[in-house]
Amino acid sequence: MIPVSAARPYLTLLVARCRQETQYRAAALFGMATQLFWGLVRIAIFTAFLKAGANRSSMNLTQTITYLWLVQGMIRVMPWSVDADIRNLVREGTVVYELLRPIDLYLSWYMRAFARHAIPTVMRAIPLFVAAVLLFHMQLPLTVAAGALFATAVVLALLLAAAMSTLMSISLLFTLSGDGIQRIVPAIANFASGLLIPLSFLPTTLQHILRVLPFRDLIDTPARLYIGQIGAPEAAAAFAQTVLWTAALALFGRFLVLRASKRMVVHGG
Amino acid sequence: MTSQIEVCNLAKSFRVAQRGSGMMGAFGSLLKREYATRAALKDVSFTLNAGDLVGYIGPNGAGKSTTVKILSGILVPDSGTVNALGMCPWKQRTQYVQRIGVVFGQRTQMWWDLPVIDSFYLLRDIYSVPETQFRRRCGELTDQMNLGAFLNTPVRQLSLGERMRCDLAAALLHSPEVLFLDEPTIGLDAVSKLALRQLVKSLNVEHGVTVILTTHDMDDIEALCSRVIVIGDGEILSDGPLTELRNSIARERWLTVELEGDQLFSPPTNTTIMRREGNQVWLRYDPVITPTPLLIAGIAATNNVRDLLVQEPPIEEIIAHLYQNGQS
Repeated sequence: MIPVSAARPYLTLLVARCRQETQYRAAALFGMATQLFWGLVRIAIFTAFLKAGANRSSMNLTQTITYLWLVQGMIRVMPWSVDADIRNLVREGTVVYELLRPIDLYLSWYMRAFARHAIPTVMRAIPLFVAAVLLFHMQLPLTVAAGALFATAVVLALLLAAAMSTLMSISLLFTLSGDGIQRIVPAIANFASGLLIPLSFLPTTLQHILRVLPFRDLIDTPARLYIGQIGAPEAAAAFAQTVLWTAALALFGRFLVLRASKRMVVHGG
Repeated sequence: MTSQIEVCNLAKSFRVAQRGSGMMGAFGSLLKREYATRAALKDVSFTLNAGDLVGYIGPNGAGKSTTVKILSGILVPDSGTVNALGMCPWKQRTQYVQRIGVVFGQRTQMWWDLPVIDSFYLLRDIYSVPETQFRRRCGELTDQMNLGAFLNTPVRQLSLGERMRCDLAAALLHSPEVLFLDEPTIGLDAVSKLALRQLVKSLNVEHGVTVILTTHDMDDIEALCSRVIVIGDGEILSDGPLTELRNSIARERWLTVELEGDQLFSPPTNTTIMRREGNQVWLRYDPVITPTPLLIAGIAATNNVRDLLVQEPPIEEIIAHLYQNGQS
């Protein structure tokens, strides 16, 4: 057990960042509008595609529509960008103050990252799902169990996304700009998570490869649990894999922070 | 008195990427990177006692900030040892930083969007300061530094002077035993500077906080520091009380003579005229060779004098002299 007092700094940082994120309510509102629009476009495309009889996947039309809405709602889970605050800290050298805190740098950045994904996701997903269920043929989970598994998977997805996002922030300590990582990671993640195309529409061999990678747990795993394509027995295995990946990425991140803080140089007075 | 910080033979060099200018340089650096090594610190040793208020000065690029960063545990030196508060700063960083406070004048540690008081609350939790202790300390600091009027203002809307005072308070919330101030008065107006100096002085005297102050403002040094360490080009050029520093460089005094009317003036022996403007003459002399009373008596006897003023040369002159010697 970690004593409560030791956890206090990190909880405080988490809450502070959550409060900061809730300030962007207008952004969430307009973001949701955009996601609704794109959701409708994508559903039109997939509907045309499925109605033409080209469906080789295991999902029917209703499941596909629901999947697509889930993707739209969970878009902020994706590790799309490095934390702009941390980027500024590194560029301006204010990152020295981060090292002057008597706390673990990795854990404090991880907390920020978690808040940065969790709050916008909640702020967008809930109203979007309500609108999609009421107006645009999104299905509710078929069973309570599916709903509960979905909720668990989303929490795990956020924990995983925070680990990926923190790694991207840490890369700033080595590259300073973060531009490269900001282009590569989303390109891979968008495809490998099921955000572009639901993974069950992909060729089977590709699906096998993507199944071992961590990205599918960001979107595809929660979405499949929701529509009932993965049952409880397989869910346990999927969750175990998510947790393992999260732990591995976190350990790697901590290792990099340790290395970086030994060789980091902040120039100038 | 026990020594609180012992610095032995500290050395640190940086690798700086070299790149030719223009397109050719840009392409060239893609193929072959060239690095130059710059020694920021060559061999720095000193000892500080608990309760010291030390000025650490030197020209730009001399290694001041590098030393402060190493002493605060942010930077790992190439060689040398530091024993501060019984710890090695960069090895026991998290434990160590709990007991020190650092203010970088050019950067703020406050959260930009949050009201000042919210930053204080965050720091309270980050440093695990108990609530009662925090409330007392925060109250004290608010009074001393006059922060009451803008505790609820977001940091981004503060003036530089206000922000600096808040930053100093922020660095003191967890009652550090050692305080590093890296150019705390940079860009401040005269009133804010005075306020800040007073604070630092009282912290040092009343709370016994050890203060290490780097600055380019010699008035800061004259007002605050009993001891001055001068660093130039990565080496310590001088270490001792301010008076000793003055004497070791030059025992020189300056005498300003204001004459009645525009009369001729020939300098007494062993003095030199620095400049003359109208009826004012500036002389430089060594008070050991030419005792001041004799000099003044001599001038008053042979000239029609309206006023006389004896001064020590400004500390800037002395430091500039020292820097130049250090470079040659």
